[in-house]
Amino acid sequence: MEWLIFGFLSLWLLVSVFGTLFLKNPVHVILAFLSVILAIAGIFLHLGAELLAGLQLIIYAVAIIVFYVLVITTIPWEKVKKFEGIYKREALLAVPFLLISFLPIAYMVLEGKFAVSERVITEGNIRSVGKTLFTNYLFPFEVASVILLTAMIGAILLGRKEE
Amino acid sequence: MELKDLIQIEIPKLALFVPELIVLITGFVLFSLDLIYKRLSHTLAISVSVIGYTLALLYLVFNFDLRGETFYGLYVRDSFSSLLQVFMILLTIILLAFTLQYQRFKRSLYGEFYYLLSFSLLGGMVLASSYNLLLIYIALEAVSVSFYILTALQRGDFTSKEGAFKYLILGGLAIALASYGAVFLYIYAGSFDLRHVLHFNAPDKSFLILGLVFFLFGLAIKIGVVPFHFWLPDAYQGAPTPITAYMSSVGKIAFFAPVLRVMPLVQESFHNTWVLVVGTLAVITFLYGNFVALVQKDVKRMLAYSSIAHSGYILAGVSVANAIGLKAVIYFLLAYSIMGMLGFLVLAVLERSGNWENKLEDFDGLKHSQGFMAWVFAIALLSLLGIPPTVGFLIKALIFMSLAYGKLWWVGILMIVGVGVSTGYYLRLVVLMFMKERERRAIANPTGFERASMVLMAVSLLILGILPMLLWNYISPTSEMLFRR
Repeated sequence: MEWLIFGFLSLWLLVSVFGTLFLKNPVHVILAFLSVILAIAGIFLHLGAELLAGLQLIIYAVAIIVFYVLVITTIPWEKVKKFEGIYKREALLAVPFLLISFLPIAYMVLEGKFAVSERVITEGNIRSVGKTLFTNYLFPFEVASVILLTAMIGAILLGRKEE
Repeated sequence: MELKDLIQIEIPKLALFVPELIVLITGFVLFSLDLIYKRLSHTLAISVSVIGYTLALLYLVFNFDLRGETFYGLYVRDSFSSLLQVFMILLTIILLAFTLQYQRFKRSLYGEFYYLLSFSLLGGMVLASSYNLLLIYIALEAVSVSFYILTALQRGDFTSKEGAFKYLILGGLAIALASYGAVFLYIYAGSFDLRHVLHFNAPDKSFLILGLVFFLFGLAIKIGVVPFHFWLPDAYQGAPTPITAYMSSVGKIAFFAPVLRVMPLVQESFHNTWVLVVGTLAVITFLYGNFVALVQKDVKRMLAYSSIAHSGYILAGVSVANAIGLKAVIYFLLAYSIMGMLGFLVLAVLERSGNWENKLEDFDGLKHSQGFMAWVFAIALLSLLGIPPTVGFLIKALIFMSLAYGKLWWVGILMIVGVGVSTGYYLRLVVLMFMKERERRAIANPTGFERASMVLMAVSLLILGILPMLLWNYISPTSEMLFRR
């Protein structure tokens, strides 16, 4: 059963990745990218990392996708260069680089020992992260809220029209 | 059952960080005022800021002996943090005397300025009072984000935007490097607390060295140490001049604070690496800063390079990781914050005259047109150069003494070369102002507050040079306390 879910999720992931590469309409590309993120979040959930899955959904699926969509709506598409098919020479050049970066990863996966640390609390990672964040690291958390406020004020100040 | 057991968190000792709290509340009061009034009265905003900062300052001065840690050891109140915070708040209050006239002249009056200022001050104060890498990281970000925005505040001006953009990109890189270093230090010791990390004794020190190098490189970008200084001249030149003054004084104190906290914790096992890395950076920094300042035609840019050179002198003191070095460095940092700020503030006033472009020719015969400004600027320049009755001489002598004590002769000798080179540009300005004849021009007249602040700063430069014990009596026990940790 577990393999079935994993197989389904990875197939979904691969299909959506190829979608982001080969679709021509920018809105379709963004939709495929959204699908990639959902698939990755599913894989995280399947591995028991529910915090990562949640962050993936909140940060990528919500914040970054919305940002991309905003950018797409502001670009005048009739002026942008259209898709001209795959660049063959560049693709050929990319293959050795791909292999070189793939080899160490493959080596690490095959030969590496994936140690499980005993110090990690296994009571569920959202609970433990939340506990640490609101006890030990409460003060940085509060200061971070001031940073966000400052950044927002700055964006409004620099972005608004001159009176 | 106690409350503490019931909610299972430590109750923070609020008494320790009342100054930060006051500054934060001041910021929010200003924020609300800006929301309520459609046209914010700038005098009101300035008075509210001054009252808030003065309250924080009074609390600090009357509770100077306050000690302790709170928020699970993340926040540390000791005499070091109190001393730096006193200077930061004082300089911010002085700055507020200059901003309104300048912004009115440049047509860049924004109500947001006041609370951005207080948020950056808050970040600087937190930065001065933590040993925790995570909090240092967050506080660095808090100071920098406000600085990026303040730099870009002159919205119509292209150089302002360019400087802010360069600062933003390189500042982001610095934060990334610093967090990367913090991760390595965490791998090494399993803790974010610098005291724990640097006292941790593992046989393999490679992660410690790697982490420290990345962390210090991150801070070096923020400070503007030479291989990483590229943003600094552009940001300092592009920023509104009072903001430049703020960045070169309060910003410098804030960004140097974590470095000074690391300095007493340098252990025997990596002492030599520390001396070599920091000493080399220091030498490159002050030589480069002084030589490049020599050929600048723009006085604001020249003072920016002089600021780089002074970071180099401070780093030279930091490379001597002992108590004498730390005393010299704290004195240098505090004294430089006054003279660097005074130099830029004089420019901020002078820029209000018509046809003023901060070029060297603009300073010809300034004595005849505006004698007061010429004298104040001359005191600032002579102090930056290091002529005996001013504090500039004393601090350079202190750094040199600590270098001699630490047997770092190569740094000391090169420092003398650097100071010798700097004579060229500081004295040239003084000569231009006092000895060149030129017909009288209309030069902006400083307001009463500006006049009083400049007199205060110039006099304090002289007093700190003649009676160093005034400040030394606080610095000396502070530095020894940091070394006892």
